[in-house]
Amino acid sequence: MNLRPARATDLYLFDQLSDPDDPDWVRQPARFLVSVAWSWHLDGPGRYFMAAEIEGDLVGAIAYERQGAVWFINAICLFPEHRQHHHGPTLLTLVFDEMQRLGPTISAVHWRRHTANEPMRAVGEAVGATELSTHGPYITVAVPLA
Amino acid sequence: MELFTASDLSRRRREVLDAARHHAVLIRDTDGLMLRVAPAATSQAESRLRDLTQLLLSTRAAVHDADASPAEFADLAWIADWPVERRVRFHDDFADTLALALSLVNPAPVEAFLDAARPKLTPPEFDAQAVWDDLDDKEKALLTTRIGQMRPRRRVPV
Repeated sequence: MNLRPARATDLYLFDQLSDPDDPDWVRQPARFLVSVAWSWHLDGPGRYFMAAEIEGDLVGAIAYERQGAVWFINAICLFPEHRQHHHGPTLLTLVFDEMQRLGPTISAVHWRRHTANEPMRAVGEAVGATELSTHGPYITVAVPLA
Repeated sequence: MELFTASDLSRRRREVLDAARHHAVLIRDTDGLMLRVAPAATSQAESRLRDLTQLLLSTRAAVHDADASPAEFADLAWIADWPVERRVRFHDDFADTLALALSLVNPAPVEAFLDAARPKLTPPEFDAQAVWDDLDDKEKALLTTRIGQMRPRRRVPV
């Protein structure tokens, strides 16, 4: 798997990051990626919208930004056909490496997941995430950057 | 593009229609005039692609002009406020997505890009439960009393 900046020509494919049958908490990050991340990606710096590929095929996308002393992952999505292939932890590990390259002094990554988002809970567990706090149906988790 | 003759419309009708269902075909009339038969969806996509190409080309000069008026950007008036550097990047991306759309004969890549790039008014999220939870007991009691005193709005006959 490799990461590269998202391109304008990817956007119509990113429209398929969620199924109409997906619950709201899957459709919201997918919607964020195509409707918000692109415009703030244009503005940078400190905000990143990346596409994940395996042998040239898009498998997902992720948006993250610097928020003070930590990195914050705004949205992460894999295409439905790639969700059962353990690509989530691989994608996050690549992103952590990229974050360390971009900001060696930043020591943690945060994101928020829905309490019902079992796949993302498993991904967090695979990369050593710790649950920090709960806000309504969302849990903020953190991973230290080595 | 497959080519048929006018007489094929009677002798090979099914073959002509099947070919036209998948892609445009040409039919040469008896006087030599070439006619094109294509699915309606293809014609609609081509028409939209022509409009988008015209939009891209007609706004090319204005993108580089810091003093251009919103009217010069036609349907892209929302980029008039952007710095020239951002407009140029937008226009390059517009051209990339249009090239892809033309190769697919499908305007979807451009439509998705324009939708993503267009500024959006995102109303702040309103969480009624969180607002209620932030009130202290005195405020909650006062609000409960006031809600109890409110009269139903009088219906106005139409």
